[in-house]
Amino acid sequence: MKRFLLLAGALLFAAWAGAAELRPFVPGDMARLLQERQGRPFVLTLWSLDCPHCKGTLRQLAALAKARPAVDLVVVSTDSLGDSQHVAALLAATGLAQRDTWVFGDAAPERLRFEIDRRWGGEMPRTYLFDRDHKSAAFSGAVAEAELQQWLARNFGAGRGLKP
Amino acid sequence: MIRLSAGAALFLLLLTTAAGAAEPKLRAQLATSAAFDDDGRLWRVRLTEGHVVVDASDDQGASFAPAVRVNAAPEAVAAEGEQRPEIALAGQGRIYVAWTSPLPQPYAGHVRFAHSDDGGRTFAAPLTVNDNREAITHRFQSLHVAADGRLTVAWIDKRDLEAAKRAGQDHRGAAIYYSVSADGGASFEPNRRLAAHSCECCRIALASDTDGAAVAFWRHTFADGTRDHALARIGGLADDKAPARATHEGWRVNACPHHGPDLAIGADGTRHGAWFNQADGVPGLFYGAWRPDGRPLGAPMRFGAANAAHPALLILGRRVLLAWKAFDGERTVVSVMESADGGRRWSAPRSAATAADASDHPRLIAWRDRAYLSWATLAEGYRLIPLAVAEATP
Repeated sequence: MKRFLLLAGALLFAAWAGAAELRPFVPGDMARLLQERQGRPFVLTLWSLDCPHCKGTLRQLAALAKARPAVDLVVVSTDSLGDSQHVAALLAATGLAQRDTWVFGDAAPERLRFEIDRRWGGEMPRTYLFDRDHKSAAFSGAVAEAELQQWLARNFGAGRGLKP
Repeated sequence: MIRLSAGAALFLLLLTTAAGAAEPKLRAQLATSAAFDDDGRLWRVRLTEGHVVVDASDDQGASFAPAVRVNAAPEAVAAEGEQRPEIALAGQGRIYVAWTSPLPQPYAGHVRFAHSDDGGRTFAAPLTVNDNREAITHRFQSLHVAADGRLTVAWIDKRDLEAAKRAGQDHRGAAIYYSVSADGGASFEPNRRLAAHSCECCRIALASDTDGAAVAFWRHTFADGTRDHALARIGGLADDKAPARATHEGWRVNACPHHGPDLAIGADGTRHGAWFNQADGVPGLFYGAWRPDGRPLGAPMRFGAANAAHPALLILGRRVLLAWKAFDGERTVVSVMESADGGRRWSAPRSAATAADASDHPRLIAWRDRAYLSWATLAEGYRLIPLAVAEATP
């Protein structure tokens, strides 16, 4: 009950402050995430502090966030909850802190990886472009620019490209 | 993004609580190495609260004597996934321990080493093996003791990458560096580079060649952008010579796989390797063998079902054993298969152990002619499981 009140307090505070927060990604969250976004396109990126190739993808996402504020970005760090401070700092420095951000919150990362995509070997960065019907294209490493543009056009209309 | 109103937050909270949302947990740091001494005593090294600790068991892992701290002063220790503290026994009470101590800077760490001359009662103060002391990558250490007592530590090092960056140049991948100690770990010789352009975060496998020298097997970043594996004797590559490609799946990806290989070498010098790669878009495990000159012995064999990862290899005479783990949605299963004829024909895979929660990568160790699975798991604890000889399927 104490944990419940603490969590409720934290959530209410976050809602009141209107601030995005780094949330622990626990078993069941992938299913909830998909359910909350039924009929809506979104981008899901998995990254870690430990992965030198991930910084480029975070920069790519930050550019997307800036050019297309309407695009729903879910950014999940596969680091441990104990790394939350470093994860939050890096997200803030990259300009992604105000997006939907998470950090792996289970003792067994394989359980979370399995729930996200059982065909994923755990290599990072890993990005999924989800269409409205939640069919998705997966990318290990950087997202192919041409496919990102096609996905944007398909789900958000012609609009502006990445560069304003 | 979704901003929750207070009402929606409470609603969601109730919803998730009702649905039994899991409680957030810290990642388990379970990485454990174990080895037998000549008398059959099992020695183990792992991390507990900033200390690398060593303990020993006289009953095949059922119980352990009180653990001894290797590092008196606590420090950060990498003990999860591809990074593990390691232990090696060299007889006459000599015990060697190596680990990586991560630094607060991204990807940064130092390779650490300590030795005991009194059968693990006390350990000398730890020393840092990497002679480049910048706060950059010197991580994923791997320890080897040759038959003549020479110690080799190899690791992934980014000193060349950082130097290239300072000079405004591009640099592909990290590098494999190593250092040798000829005085039982009291000191280490200047660091040398085995190969430039290694992958950045996959463990390095070391095994003893027929003359006792260390052979390395690691994931490399080749000039064509593929992350296949390279095989080379430590000290056997002229500097700046590109290592030969040992695996040919051609996984072309600018990502960190976090899947390092394993290596075992038979008495005839045959190199047996097990590795993870993606071929034709399908990830999986592979086994292959090479002659001492590097020529492959047949085509590699895919093994393991979906999600199979983190293979371990052991060779005992003509007997070759493979172990790996796979998460099936509920639990992690370690499977084992073996060959009685040096890797030509293989038994069907069988389940050797399961874990309900987090687990370390499986390791295979031997005492005399007996094979064991060494596996640390969160819910069930540390397990040493004897692996009886299995029948080969023709």
